Amino acid sequence: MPLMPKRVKHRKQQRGRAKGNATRGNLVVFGDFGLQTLDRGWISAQQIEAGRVSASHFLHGEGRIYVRIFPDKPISAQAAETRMGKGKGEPEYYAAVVRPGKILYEIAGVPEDIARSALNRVCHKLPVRCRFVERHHKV
Amino acid sequence: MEQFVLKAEPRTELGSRAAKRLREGGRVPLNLYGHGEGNSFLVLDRVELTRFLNAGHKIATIRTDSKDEPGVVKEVQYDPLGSTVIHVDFTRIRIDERIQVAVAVETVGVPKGVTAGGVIAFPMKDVLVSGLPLDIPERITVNIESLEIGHAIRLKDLKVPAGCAFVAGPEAVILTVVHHKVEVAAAPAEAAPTQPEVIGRKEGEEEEPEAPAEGEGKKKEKEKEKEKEKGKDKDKEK
Repeated sequence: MPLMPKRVKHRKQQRGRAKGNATRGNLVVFGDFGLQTLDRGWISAQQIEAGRVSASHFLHGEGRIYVRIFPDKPISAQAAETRMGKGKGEPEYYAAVVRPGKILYEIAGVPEDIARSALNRVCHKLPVRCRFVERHHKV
Repeated sequence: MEQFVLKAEPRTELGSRAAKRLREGGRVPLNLYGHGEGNSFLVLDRVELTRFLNAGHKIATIRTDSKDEPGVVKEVQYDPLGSTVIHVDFTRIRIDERIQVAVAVETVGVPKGVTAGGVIAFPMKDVLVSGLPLDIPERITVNIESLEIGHAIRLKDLKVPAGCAFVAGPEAVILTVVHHKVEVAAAPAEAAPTQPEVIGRKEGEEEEPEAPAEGEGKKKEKEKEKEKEKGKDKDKEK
C-alpha cells in the first residue's frame, strides 16, 4: 500500500506554488548522514518508497533509515482517453512537496562510505537533484 | 575542554544589509552577550569559525584588540541548505563559574549484538554536562564491544569527567542494541483502503455529482451529434 494520509479534510487540492527554500526539516537530526534536495518539486509516494527500498536492500538490514518526508498532497489527473472538461479529475496519487534544503532521508548506524553509497542509490530514484550531508554538532 | 581562541573585530555597521555585505566578504557576524554587560557586536572569519564548529568545540576565548572574553556557543544559524554559517551567538562565561554544555558521546568498537544481527539505536548522541569550563571534556568515550542484543548503555555507565556532573537522570538510555526489524510483506491490496477518509463526511455520501462515466459520456455525445444532424436534414428538406 503506498504512503498516503489516513484522513483528509478535502479530497482534492489546487496545485499551489513551492516558493523559497526549506526553513524546517533542513538539518540532519535523527541519523548521522542525510540526503538533501537541491531542487523543488513533488516526490510521489511511489518514489519515496522506491528510495527507501533501494537503501534498505543495499544496507542488508544494517543501520537504520529515517524517511523525513510524507506525501500529503493529492495529485489529480484526467482519466485516459477522456475529453477535457467535465470537472477536475480524480486523485491519482499522493506527493510530498519539497523545497531546496529539505532533508529527505537519514541513515544512522553505518560508516560514512556505506551511507554515501546507499543514499546515492536513493538519489537515482528521485525526480530532484540531491546531495549527501552530515549531521552538525549539537550546541 | 581545550581553550580555543577566535580572533574577532568589532562591527561598525549593524543591520541586515551590513551583515549581508560581511557574509559576501567571507566573514560572519557574531554577538557576544551575558553577565550583565552590554552586547558586543563582532565579526570573525568564516573559515576559522567553521573549523571551530566542525571540530565540535563549544567554548572559546573571543579575542578583540581591546580584551579577551571567554564565551560558549549559544546558537548557530545556517543558510537554508544548512551548510554555511550565517550568524553565531556566544554567551560570556567565567572560568570559575559552572556551566552546562552538550558533550558528544563517542563509541569504540563493534558490539557483540551487532555481529549477531542486531542494530544499534543511539538516541542520545550528546550528553548535557555541568561543570567548570576548563573541566568539561570535548567528548565522552564509551566502549560498546561487550554489548549484546537487548542491552543498553545508560548514563550511569559513562565515566563522569572529573569535577563535572551529568544533568540528566542516571537511567537515561544513551545507546542500545535492538533486534533488526524484518520487513513484513505488504498486505493484499483488497484489505488496504485506496483513498483516505474525508473528515466530516458520512459513509456513502457523495461530494458532488460526479462527471459521467467514460462510456456514458461518449454515448450522450453521439446522441447529441445525431440529433443535430437530423435537425440539419429537416432544414434542408424545408
